[in-house]
Amino acid sequence: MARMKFICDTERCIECNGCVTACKNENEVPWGVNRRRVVTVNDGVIGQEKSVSVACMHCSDAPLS
Amino acid sequence: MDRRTFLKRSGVGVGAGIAASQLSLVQKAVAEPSKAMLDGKGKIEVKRSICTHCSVGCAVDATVENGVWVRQDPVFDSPINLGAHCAKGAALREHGHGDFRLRYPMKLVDGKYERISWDQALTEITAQMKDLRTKYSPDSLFFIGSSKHNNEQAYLLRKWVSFFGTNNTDHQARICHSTTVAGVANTWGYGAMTNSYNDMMNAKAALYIGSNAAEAHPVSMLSLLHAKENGCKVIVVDPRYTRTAAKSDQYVRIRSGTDIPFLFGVLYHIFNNGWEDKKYINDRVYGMDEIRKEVMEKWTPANVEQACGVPEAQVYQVAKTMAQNRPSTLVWCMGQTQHTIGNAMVRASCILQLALGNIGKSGGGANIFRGHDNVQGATDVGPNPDSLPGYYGLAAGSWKHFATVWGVDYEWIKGRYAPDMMEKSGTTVSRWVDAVLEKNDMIDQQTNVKGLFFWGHAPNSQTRGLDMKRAMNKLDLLVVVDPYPSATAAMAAMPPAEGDVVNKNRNVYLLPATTQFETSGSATASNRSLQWREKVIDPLFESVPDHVLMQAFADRLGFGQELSTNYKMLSSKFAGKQWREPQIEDILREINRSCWTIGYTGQTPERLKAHMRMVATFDPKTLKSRGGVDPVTGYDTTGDYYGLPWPCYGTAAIKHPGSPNLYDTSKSVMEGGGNFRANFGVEREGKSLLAEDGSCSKGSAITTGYPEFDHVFMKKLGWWDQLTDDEKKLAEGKNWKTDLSGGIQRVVMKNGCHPFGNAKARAVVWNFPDAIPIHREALYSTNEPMMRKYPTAADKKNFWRLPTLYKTVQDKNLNEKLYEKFPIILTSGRLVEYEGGGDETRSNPWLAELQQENFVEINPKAAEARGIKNWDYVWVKSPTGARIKVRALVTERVDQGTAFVPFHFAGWWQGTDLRKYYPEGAAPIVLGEAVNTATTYGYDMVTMMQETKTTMCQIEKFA
Repeated sequence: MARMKFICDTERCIECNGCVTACKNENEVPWGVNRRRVVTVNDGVIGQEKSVSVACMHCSDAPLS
Repeated sequence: MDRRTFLKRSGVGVGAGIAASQLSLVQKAVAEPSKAMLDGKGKIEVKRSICTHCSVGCAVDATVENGVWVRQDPVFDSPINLGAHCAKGAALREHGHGDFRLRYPMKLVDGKYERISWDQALTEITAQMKDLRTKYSPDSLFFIGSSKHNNEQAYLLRKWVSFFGTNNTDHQARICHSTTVAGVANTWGYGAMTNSYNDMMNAKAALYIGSNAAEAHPVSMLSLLHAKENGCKVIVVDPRYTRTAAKSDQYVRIRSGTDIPFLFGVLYHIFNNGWEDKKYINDRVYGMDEIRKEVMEKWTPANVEQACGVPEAQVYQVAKTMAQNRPSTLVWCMGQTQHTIGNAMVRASCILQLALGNIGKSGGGANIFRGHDNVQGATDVGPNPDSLPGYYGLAAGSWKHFATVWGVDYEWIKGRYAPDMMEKSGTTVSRWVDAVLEKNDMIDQQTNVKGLFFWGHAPNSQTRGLDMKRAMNKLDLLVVVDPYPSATAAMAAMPPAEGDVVNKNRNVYLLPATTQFETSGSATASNRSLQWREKVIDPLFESVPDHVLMQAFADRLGFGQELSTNYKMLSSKFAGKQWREPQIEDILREINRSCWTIGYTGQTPERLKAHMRMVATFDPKTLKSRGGVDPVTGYDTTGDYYGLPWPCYGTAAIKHPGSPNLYDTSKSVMEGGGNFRANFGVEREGKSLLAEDGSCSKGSAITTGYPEFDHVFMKKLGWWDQLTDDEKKLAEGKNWKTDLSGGIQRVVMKNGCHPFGNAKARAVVWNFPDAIPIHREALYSTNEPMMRKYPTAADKKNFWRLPTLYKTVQDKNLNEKLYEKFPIILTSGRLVEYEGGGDETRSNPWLAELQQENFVEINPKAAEARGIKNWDYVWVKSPTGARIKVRALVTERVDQGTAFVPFHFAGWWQGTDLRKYYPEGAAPIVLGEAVNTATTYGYDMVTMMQETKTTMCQIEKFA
C-alpha cells in the first residue's frame, strides 16, 4: 500500500498557516507543541522569498507523515 | 489500533476525500469511542456554515455530536474554497469552546465588571436610553453596528435605529471600503466588486495595488495562482514586499499614498502607445478625453517618479503587461481606500480599467476585495448613516417605500425623529469620538453624542486612540454587545489620562451576543454571492443572538410590534428564559420585498438553502450551475450562479440567475448580463451620457443607450400592457426601484433590457470634490516638497454633521516641521492569523500561539541607524503624543522610509498591560499595543474614511 505523503508546492504556499491550525484543531494539540509549521526563507527579499510547510519530524510513526 | 492501521483495515482513504459521514469512524479509531457512537443512539449531525473571518466566503462542514462541535471539515465541493481554509478558517471550531468569551451580562461598578442579570441589564439600559432620548434627542445616541451580523440582523438593525429615531448608525464598511463604494458607484453604477474571486482564473494579467490578499484573503489566492499557472502575469504594487508580492512576477514598491500618480503614470504609457480600447471608450465611457489631457500634462514619467519613487521603466512595464495581456484585472483593498483622497484613488483604478476596456469582461474587472465576512451585505442592507437598506438614501420617497414594506405609518416614523433630522445623514463611526468631544455649537445636531452602542465593532480598528479614550470617559452610556467585548471593555475601565476625568454618571454595560455559528442567516461574500449559514450549535453561556436582542430592546423601548409586523415570532430559550425571536427567514423575505435597487429580491431563503445543499453542481470557474435538482425542495438550480450574486432582479418566481460579472454585455440580462447604469442623468453639457448606438447587453430590445425605467417610460414604449393587472395596480406611478410587484423589472428584462438603463461609465465624477482624481499628499505626509507641490484641500465646516480639517492640519505639519521629528511613514495592515480588531482571533489558542506579540517592521538600515536589533522592544511615537511599545521586526519587506504595524492588537496602552481592566475570564490570550493608539487625524473628502495608511512616526529603542 502506498505510503501517504504531505506535499507542499512552494509556488502555491502563501504561508497562510492553515495546515498548522488544522493540525492543532483536529488533534487538539496543546499550546507550545506544533506538529506542523511553515518555514519562510529569504523573507522580504524581492524575488527570492519562498514558504514551505514542514512537519516537526519528531515522531517515529507520525500520524501525518 | 492506531490511526494508520485502522485506515488500512477499513479501506478508508487518508486525507481529502473522506466524506463527512465517515469522519466519525476515523475519530473512533484515534479517540476513546463515545457512548453516542457505541450505542448508535447519539445524535451526530453535519451542519454547513461559512467562515466568519473574511469576505471570501469559505464553506465549512461542522460535525456536531449531541450538541457539541467535535469536528470541522472544509467543504470540498464549495466552488468558492474548493476544500481550502487558511489559518483562521481551519480554526473555526474553537467557537464551540469559547473559553475566553463574555459569559453573561456585566456592568462596570467602581472600576470592576460585575455580573448582572439580562433583566437588570435590559431594564437599566433602556431606561437610560429613554432618558437621553427625551432629555436631549434621539441623535444623542450613536449605534455602531456590525459587518459580522448576517444580512438579516444588519437589515433589522437599520430598521431598529430608524424606529429609535436617528440616522446616527454605521459599521465597519465606513473604515473599510466606503471610498470604494462611493467612488465606484459614482463611476459606473454599483459600488461593489465587479467580478468574483473565481473569475480571476480567467485573467491574463492581474494588478494588485493596495491589497495583501495572501494574508487578508488567503483562499482567494487559489484563483490567482491557478491563473498564474496558466500564464497570468501577476503584478503587485505596494509599499511593502508582502506575502502577496512574493507570488508576483513584477513587484513595484511605491511610496505610501501615491496611488494616483502611479495609476496615471501607467495610463500615460497606455495613451502614449495607443493601447487604450478606443471603441469601448467611445461606446461606454464619458469624460476620458479630460482624463487623457490631465494624464499627459501632469503625469509625465519624471513627475510620476518624483511623486511615487517608481522609475519610468517599471511603470512602462506594468502598462505593457496590463495592455498586452487582456483581459487584465485590477485588485485593491485598504491600501487604496484608507486615505483622505481614497475616493479619488479608487476612481483612478476604475479609469485605468475603463481605458483598457476591462470592465464588464470575464477575466477583467475591478476586483475589490471586501474585508469582513458580511461587510458587503451590511453595506448593501445594513446600518448606514446616509441610507436605508438597498442604497435607497434618506429622501421622503425612500422612507415612504420602506414604510409601506414595513407595514408602519410614515408619519409615525417621522415622529420618532427630531425635527428635520430624518433626511439628514448621521455622523460616521470614524468620527463618533468628535461627535462626543466637539464643541456643541460646531456640530450639526441638537446635542453631542452621549450614549454609544458598540454592537459588534472593535475600538482599536479606529484611529486616534488617545482621543477615543477621552470620548469614552465623557459618555453617559456605553453598551458593548459582542461575544468578545474585551478591548472596548478594558479601554472604558482603565483610568483616564492625567488631567482628564471620567463622567461620574457614566454607565458601562457588556452584553454577550452569540457568534454566527450559534444562529442562522445569510451572508454576502465579496463577489456578491449570498450564502446561507445553518446554526451549528446552541448559544454558549448566557449569550443571545443579535436579532433577538434587537427585539428585546424594541419591546422595552415601545416599538417591538412595529419592528416585527411582518415576521413570524418564535418563542426561543436563551440564557435560561424565553425570548421573542423574529424568524430569520422572514426578515430575509422582507429584504426580498424591499431591496429592488440592487436585486436582493430573488435570493429567497429557499433558493439560498438549496444552493448550499447543491454546492457541488456549481462550476468553480464560472460559478454557474451545471444542473441539478435539490432533493429537499425539488428546486432546479440549472442556470443559476452560485449564491445568486446580486443583482438577482425580479421576484424569485422569474428565476433570475444572479449576476456573476457586472456590466457584462456579452450576456443577456436574464442570464446575468448587463451594462453601465444610467444614474446620473441622460446628458451633460450637450453630451449624451447614455451608451452609444449598438452598445447594449445581448438580446436587448433597445439597441441604443436608454434611461432607467419607470411607469411613464414603460407606457411610452408600449410595454405597459405586458404587465398583469395585479402588477399594474402596484406599478402605477412607480419606477423599477419602487414597484413592489416586480412587474416593471420582469417586463423590462423580458425585453432583454436592464431595469437601471444603459449608460456610459463616468471617468469624470462631477459631483465629487475632485471630479478628475487629483493627487493630494496625506495630512501627515513625511515628504515636504510633495506636500507643497500637491497640497491637501480646504477645511470643511459641516461634513457628516462635523467640522473636518484638511489644510489646517497639513499646514501645522509644514510649519512645525513634524516631518523632521517623525520622518518615517507609518502604515498598518493585516496578518493572516488575526482578523479586524483581533479580540476574537486573539482569544483562539490555535491562532494566538502563532502571533504572540505585536511588532513594527523596520528596514535594517533604519534600525541600524537607531541602534535597534531584531526583536528588541521599541517605542513607535506619533505626533499625537502617543507612543506604543512593540517588538522591532528588522526586515527588508519595508524600505528605509516606511514602517508597518499590524492593527489587530489591543490590551496594552502606551507600554501598560491592561489585563486587570478586562472582565474576569474574558480577556484574549494575546494582548498587545494597538497601532491606532498612535494614528493621526485625517478623513476622506467624500465618505469620512479614516486615514490609516499614510501617517508618520519616529522609532526609538525602548528604554
